[in-house]
Amino acid sequence: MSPEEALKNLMEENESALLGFAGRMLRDASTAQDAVQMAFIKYNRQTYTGGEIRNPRAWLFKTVRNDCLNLLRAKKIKAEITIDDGGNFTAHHDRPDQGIMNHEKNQLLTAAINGLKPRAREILVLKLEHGKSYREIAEIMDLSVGNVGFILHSAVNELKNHITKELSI
Amino acid sequence: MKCSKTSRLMTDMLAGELSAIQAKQLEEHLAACENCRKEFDELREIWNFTGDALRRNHQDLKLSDAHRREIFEAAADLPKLKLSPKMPSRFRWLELVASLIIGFGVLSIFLLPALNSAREKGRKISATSNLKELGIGAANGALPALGAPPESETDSSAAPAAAPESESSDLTEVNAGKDADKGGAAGKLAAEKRKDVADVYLRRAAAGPTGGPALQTLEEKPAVRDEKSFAALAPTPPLPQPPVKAAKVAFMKYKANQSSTPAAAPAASSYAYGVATIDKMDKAEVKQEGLKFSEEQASNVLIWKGVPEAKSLAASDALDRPAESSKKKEEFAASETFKVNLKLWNLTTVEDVRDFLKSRNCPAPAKILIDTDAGAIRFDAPYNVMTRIKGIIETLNSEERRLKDFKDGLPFTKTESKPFSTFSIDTDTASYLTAKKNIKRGIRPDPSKIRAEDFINYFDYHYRSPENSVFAVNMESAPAPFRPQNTLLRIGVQGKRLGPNINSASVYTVLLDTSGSMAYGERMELAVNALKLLSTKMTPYDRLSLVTCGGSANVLINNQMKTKNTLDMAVKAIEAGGVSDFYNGLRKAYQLAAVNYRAGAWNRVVIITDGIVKLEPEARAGIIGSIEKNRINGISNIVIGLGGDGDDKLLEEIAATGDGSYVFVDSENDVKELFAANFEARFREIARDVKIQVEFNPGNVAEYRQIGYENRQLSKADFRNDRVDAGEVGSGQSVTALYELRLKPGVKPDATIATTRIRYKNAEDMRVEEKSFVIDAGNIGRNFETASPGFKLASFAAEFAEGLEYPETQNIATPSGIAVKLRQLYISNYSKDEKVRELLDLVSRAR
Repeated sequence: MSPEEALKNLMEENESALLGFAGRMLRDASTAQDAVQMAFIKYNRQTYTGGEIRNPRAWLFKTVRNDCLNLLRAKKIKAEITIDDGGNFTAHHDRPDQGIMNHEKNQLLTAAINGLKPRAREILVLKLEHGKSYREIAEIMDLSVGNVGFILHSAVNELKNHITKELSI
Repeated sequence: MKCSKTSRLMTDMLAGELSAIQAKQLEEHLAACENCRKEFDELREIWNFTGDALRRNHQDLKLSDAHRREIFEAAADLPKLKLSPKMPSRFRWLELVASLIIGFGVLSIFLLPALNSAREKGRKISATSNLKELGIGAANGALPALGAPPESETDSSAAPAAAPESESSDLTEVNAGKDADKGGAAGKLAAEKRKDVADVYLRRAAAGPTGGPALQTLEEKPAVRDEKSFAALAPTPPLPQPPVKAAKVAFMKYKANQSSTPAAAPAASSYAYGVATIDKMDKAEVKQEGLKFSEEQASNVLIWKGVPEAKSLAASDALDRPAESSKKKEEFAASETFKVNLKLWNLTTVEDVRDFLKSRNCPAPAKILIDTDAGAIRFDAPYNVMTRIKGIIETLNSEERRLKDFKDGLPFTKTESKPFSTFSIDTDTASYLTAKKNIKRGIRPDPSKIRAEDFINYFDYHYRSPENSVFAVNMESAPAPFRPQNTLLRIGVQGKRLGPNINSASVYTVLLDTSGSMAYGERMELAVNALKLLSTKMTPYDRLSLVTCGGSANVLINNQMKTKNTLDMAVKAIEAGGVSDFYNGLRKAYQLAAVNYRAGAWNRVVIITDGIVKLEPEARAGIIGSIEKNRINGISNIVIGLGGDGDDKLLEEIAATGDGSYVFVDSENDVKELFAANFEARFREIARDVKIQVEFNPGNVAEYRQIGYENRQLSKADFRNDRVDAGEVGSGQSVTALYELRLKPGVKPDATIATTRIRYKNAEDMRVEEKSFVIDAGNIGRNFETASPGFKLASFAAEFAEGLEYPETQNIATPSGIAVKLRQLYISNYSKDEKVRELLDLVSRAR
């Protein structure tokens, strides 16, 4: 595989997830494009100059995250990831009543997630949305693996308690 | 398990981050505890729901075309990027200057004669020839004279094709020195020095026959940049000037004398050369003031001698230079790079190369650059010497080609070209055991996986044990069994049996590969058995850690004492599955070993794997690197290989790097043998970095060939370099090496055939010891039949291995030929030796 093809593959595999992640962080699709582009350029430079990148996926995430944080800091915006209200949820369900119930539950959930601490929210996104392992999350966020597990554990339990209280599911 | 402890585990379970043992425990608990089960179900629902919610609005996001294009453009720009760290921008224009200088130099060579044609002939001729020389000197000599950084040296020697580039960068260095005048303390210092030197130079210039009125002062500007003012300068009448610039002016003065025609280009170029030359001259002259001349400086002098004044000065100068240098300078012209396998010929240091050339009656040039890894060597030498060097290198190259040609019999090395054979000891037997397994199944073993030394070392030769030292070396020689015109030399090294410190405590860190492939056949069973047997060897002072690597690296036991429970629990949790995460498993194991390191104990990582692992080259290099680091810190390893279809080379490399051995086990018996009979040999070493060097006497031995040990070859210089890693020998272990020799006719009985030296680090105190042993022609047995049984056995095992390794090669005995002789040996001497019976069986099957 030529380096160009490798780069193409790497981009195809990761751009969507990275753009989603950067979009969540920056809340701006075009800045997200810039951040992801920068990450790929940095990746190229790093590998070209002989830098070792063991886990490109995690590395790209980490780079995008750091760039996003820098961008946000520069704009004096509090750097944290947020969950937007999901929009139309019914499409995924055959039974409309379930759809409505889910919609309600979803709003609750969105609120609950946004009520979490920023770090917990970020871990939640990385784990549940992007399927990253504890180790990868630890690498992306500069945390220890144990810490990731602990934060995730408390976040999920917080969500559970919140929603159970509200909906008593 | 308590309910309070399960909560956290549930999250981890949902996240897929539980180890097999924990998952099992949790599942057992959930099956038993209703509350926890309910909680887990709720948690799972919220988990899935959140996941759905987060993923729901996922669109397939794409980078815009513009962004995408920019990434590729940036990638395409990278080659430029790579150059920049090596060459700071400051040097860019200097490089340009340098290439211009060369350009002008070439021009001047062609232009000068034309311009000077009107002038006196004799002068013209001398000037052009001098300039020509100077041109070559500057191009070829800049490197030796200035001692450019080693990086550029190796670069240029490794890639002769890149010669023009490297030359120009050499010149860059020359100018860089000049540039330093402009700023910085170092620059000032250099300027000071140059000033002194220039004074000396001026004094001589004044005394010289061509000495005339001095020229106008030149500004300290790069030569070519200032072409215009320079062109104007050349014909101007002489003016008084300060001594600082004297050196340059001295040269200018020559120019003015030599040619009254205003000739901008030649003048500029020769000025540039003048600068380059003077810069180099600084060094030579400074040294010369102390009346000392090294070879290297001599070459510097050669270059600056190209300056006409210098030549004329030399005659009148009190500090007369060697007379032959003026003769030499006519010859000094060639600089050439050759490709040759330097390691093979023991030419790993410049001293070795010098000695080698001297031994061939070839004068060694002053400047030799070698790059052993790339197999490149560069000489700067006069033409006549270079042609001789060329001849010598050509014979080496043709020898190399011959050594690679296995078709007509295995190649011999000529003793005259390489009297030393140096290798690291290797006590592994894995290659024999894998071959055995394959042959028994009716599969021809892969020739690339055959290592003859493993075959030879598998058998017991019952050498005499050393009485007072660590090793006894036993040499025996007799005609070769299948090629009686040749002589076989067997070198047997027997290690002592350890006394009391064999019972020092041990800290074992076991890495158990639990990847999916380990589920095949009885691999896992054998692995677990090995683990259990290892624990039976543990004393109450020993500690055990266990790491598994199926899917991810898990620590099941961390530095615990031997108790039945811990091991049983762990063994229950072991289950083969997933892709082997060998990289992280091994790293984890070594980390644990480092954390649990105990001084004075045997710290050892035990790696049990089938070798079916996928490693990127970088990861592989990383693993080997970290093993190496830990080896230096006193953590050794042992690799227990299973299955025989994995990455054999990797396992061997791991064992070799980690001061360990690689053992292949394929049956219950093998495992038992490892932990019963061979435990001490494998787990208790008596010496590390054991190297052997055999020096053959070129007077008596025409050619020789080592059987096996291809991967263990060292260079001559490695032998006494105690930083070079080599093999380990365990308690009571023996190692055997075989050589096939072609003796010269009419060897006298008292003539030395070979001297064997053994060098090792005593494992007790890491002291380096070296012993040597000699064998004379008189010790060579009259015929093969009267040789000792061990000698015969080793020669058969070796012949069998080489037959498998080089199936295409003529001249190697067929298995049936070996079987006939081996059967006799078995019946008469080894009828009770299981291993020999097995070998006989294999040889018969391999027919």
